[in-house]
Amino acid sequence: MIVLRRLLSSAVSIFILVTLVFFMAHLTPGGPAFSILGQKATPQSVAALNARLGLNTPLLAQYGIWWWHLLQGRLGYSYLLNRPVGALLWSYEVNTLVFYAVAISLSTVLAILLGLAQGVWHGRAPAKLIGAFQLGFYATPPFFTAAILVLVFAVGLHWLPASGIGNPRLAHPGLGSFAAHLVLPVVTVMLLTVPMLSRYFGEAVHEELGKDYVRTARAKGVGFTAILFRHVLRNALRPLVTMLGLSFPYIFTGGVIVESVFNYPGLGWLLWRSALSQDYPVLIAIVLLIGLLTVLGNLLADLVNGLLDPRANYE
Amino acid sequence: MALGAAPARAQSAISASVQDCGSIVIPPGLGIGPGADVTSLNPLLTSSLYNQEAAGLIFEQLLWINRYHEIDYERSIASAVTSPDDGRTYDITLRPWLWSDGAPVTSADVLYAFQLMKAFGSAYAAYGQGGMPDIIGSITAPDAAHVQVVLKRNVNPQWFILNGLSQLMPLPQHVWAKYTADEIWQGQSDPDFFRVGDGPLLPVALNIGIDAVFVPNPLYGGAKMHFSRFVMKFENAEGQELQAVQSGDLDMSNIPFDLYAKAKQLPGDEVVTLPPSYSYHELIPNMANRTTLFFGDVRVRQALADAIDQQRIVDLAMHGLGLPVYGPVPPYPPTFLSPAAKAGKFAVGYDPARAKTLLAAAGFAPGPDGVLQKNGLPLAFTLLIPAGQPLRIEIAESIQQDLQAVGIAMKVRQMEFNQLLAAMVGQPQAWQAILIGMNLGAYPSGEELFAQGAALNNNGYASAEMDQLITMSTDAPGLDGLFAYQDFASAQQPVIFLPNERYSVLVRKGLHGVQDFLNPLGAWAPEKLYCTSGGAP
Amino acid sequence: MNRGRGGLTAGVSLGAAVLALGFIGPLLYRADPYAIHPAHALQGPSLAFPLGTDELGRDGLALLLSGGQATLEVALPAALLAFATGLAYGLLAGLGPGWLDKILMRLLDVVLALPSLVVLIFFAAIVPLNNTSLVLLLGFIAWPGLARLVRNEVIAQRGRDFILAAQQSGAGVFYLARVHLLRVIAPVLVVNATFLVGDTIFALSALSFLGLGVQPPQVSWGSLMQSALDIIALAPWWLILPPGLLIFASLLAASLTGQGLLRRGRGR
Repeated sequence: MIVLRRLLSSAVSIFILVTLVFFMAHLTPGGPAFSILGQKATPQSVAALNARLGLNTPLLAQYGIWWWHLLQGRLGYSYLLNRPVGALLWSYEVNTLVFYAVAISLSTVLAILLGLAQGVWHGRAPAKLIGAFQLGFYATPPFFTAAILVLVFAVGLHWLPASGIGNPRLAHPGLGSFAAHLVLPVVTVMLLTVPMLSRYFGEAVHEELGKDYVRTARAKGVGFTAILFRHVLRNALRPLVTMLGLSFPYIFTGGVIVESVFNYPGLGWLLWRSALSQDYPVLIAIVLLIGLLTVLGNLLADLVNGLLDPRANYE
Repeated sequence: MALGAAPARAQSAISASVQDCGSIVIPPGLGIGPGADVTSLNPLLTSSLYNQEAAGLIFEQLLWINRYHEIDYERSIASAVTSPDDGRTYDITLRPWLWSDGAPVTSADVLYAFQLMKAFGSAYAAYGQGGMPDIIGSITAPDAAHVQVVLKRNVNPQWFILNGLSQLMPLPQHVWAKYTADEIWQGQSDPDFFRVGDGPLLPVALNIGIDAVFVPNPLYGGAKMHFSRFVMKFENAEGQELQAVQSGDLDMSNIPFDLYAKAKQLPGDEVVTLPPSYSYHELIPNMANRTTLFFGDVRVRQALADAIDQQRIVDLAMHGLGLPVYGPVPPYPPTFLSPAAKAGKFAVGYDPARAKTLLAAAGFAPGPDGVLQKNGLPLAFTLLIPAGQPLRIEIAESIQQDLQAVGIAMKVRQMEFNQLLAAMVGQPQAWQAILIGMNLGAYPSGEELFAQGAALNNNGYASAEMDQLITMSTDAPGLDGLFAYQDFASAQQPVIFLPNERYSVLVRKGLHGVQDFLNPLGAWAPEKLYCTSGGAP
Repeated sequence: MNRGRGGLTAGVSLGAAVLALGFIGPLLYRADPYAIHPAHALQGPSLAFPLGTDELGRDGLALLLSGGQATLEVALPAALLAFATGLAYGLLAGLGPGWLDKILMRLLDVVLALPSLVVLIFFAAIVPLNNTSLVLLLGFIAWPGLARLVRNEVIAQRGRDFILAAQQSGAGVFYLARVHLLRVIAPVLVVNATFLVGDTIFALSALSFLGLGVQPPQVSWGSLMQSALDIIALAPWWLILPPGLLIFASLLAASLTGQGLLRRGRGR
């Protein structure tokens, strides 16, 4: 089947990706021994630690061993955090999943609504307002919006917590606590994502509305809403779906900056941390995950686009 | 049996309205610096100061060293330490103490700790400090409450007790002995591994990147805790910590220097300024790099020290919260300062004119662009600093200006910390100068830092006289050796000593005892924290 | 009312103003951005310092201008590089034979999935971070998104009647691409190009977050905002607003210009 063929060629992509990152990470000067030993590192202690971690064998051998372990289902042990990689990834993954799934779903809905409004009322006040909102938030770096949100809502008004994932004072923080901790990060991500998703969409809707078939349909008396949702949406959604496909991995890997500003323990933060401290097992496992998700995301996007526009063959 | 009430050292009077604080939430680097989390609870295996704080809550110190570098025997597991032959043999008497599972703490636990140290070899975090563990010739336990340590040679007892002997904290042999060294290594961040401790708190959970949660040890023989839950909650940056106190997420936080003035104005919260840390920043000039051989000339190093306006660094980068440092011993507390240092007489000090004279004497003359040069080679170098630390950037930029004024061209480059360390430790041709912070042990000798070929001597400094003085400071009795060593180092500037800082801590209203809780030399005393009305639930 | 014309003029004028600020500004206002004036640290705007000073007492206006030059010198070429690469790649994949498309898209998957952080850290370690290497790095990070978009658009359009008609009358691939396709996919291209400029300015500020952007004492608009953010509790508006407004202005300029060109092209 087409999907199977695509998956097979994607497997090649993932293989190349993992190999590239493996060698790039290992060849970056430094090494995890220094993250662990810190300033008390001496050539002697570094050598001893590298031996313990298996880093003094030839790189190709380490590479082969990694694949061998992977085939056995073993993802390894974090050098820095002394935990099995699989368990680590899973616990951070769940956090990111919840966070980004909520953020991106809400963003998509909002982006579609805003884009439709922009297209329909093109040139008039509402569209200009939306355009201004898009540009304004698009032009603001995420660490800045996050900082302002924290300043206003956490520090100023004390409505919401400034960071973290649950109230540490409680032995068993409930759902309410988790939800409260999610609000500011989700809003920050939405302020980033909605402009990005709706920017093409707004233009595309406007384009479509100017086309002949729309004029014809209206002349024939077809309702505006029907035209909008049955035809315009289908055609204009294409770039949006592509963007969503591109952002699919983010649902699982999160964004480093937002997660670190809010101290949200997600996969993006773990990626940052393991990249900086050269915790290879964790880093490469996350990259493998990203690779799988990117491929999946693009596949899904192409499938959906294919459904929307049967004329084109996205394979 | 149980030790009884609070230790003897004077403390603020606790009023009758003391309440249970409930939970206390603080960032791991309180009083040290921002941005790292707890990744290991094993005191033997982690050199990170943040992890040491956590480990210190679980395991009681053999010797509790207070901020004046004295041993507080009331707070130590050792009730007495004597050296009958003035430096070679040490007799330790242990007070009656219990593990949290009821088993007694005995000399076997001390011996076990030593065994583990040897088993880990150079993976042992404090390897080499105070000569440990190789300096010990034999360690025996005459009975359950006594340990005798015999060294391979006579040394200065104060040096060894403060820097070396203090490492022998008892570890629960009856729980750990069944694990191999590798298993102990792998279990570093597993709270289940540390269920049995003899310190004030026990770990309940270690959520990497989130928090480390502790509860009071019910069988702790020392003072009672005034809270039921102690959380070290990780925050990425100092500014975030501050906001967390303001929003109620944290009870205390570090205050970034830039925000110190503002923090004092915050309603309801209190600013506690700690004594200066026992550390300093240093600019390490690489004498082993072919392109910067000029650093080998002591006049050049002295000129660097003379050119730098340390007071301005303190005023600008630390907002006045720091002290200039001109020698290898931090100025506070003055316990170990030489008479000259106490009087403020150093071989170097801010004097740009003298710097210029020294450089001229060393053979440098201004080139066409104003930068000094000798034999056609300019006096120019790149200073590497750890990436993403505003304080270090400000210090570097201040230094850059000062050096420019005397004709030295210094560029600044940020580099990821592990890369920086890798270059510093193993690749002498890859760096020219590095700006870094250095923490000193309780007895500030230089055998690991400035002796030829020493473990932490990374810039190729070598001097027979320095080696001699260092040996005197660690092996000869009394403080004369230490005094002579520090005066010589101040004149030699093997690294360019730079100011050390005083951290301030923002404390939410109603929480008290912070000055006693935080100890610039290391271990925290959580029993000192208490709350009055207005505390968090 | 012909808003298209007004928008284009506004965009171009604003863009010119930003470019002038970045490139001519430093020549006109000669204060040294790196000189420290400790006695005047963190002061608001005054006659001596029109945009106040930062925590080390450096002239805010001088920093802004110097930072502008650095930001534009890196972000603009990077955006151009990303645009050209992405466009070429996407056209190649879209117009070429099926097997080429497959290979290129799978390769693109790899590049897209590559965490930019890993690449950045790797290259920062190997190559000294000067303007050229930053341009290459940022260009490398930004092009894949555009490539994928272009390729999808080309695929969607090439089945259209007018394309088939042109092909039947013997038009070659390059003619098709140049005359027909580019015109049809122009909306996506133009909108995307303008946002590429923003993306690169952003990426530069994100790099500063990690200490991997321009090296001190050199500043960029992003790094200025970043350091102002560290001390936001002091509300140093004169340090936050200028770089923020300029980033905003650059994006607005790019966006207005893009939209204006689009409308002129459509004859509206």
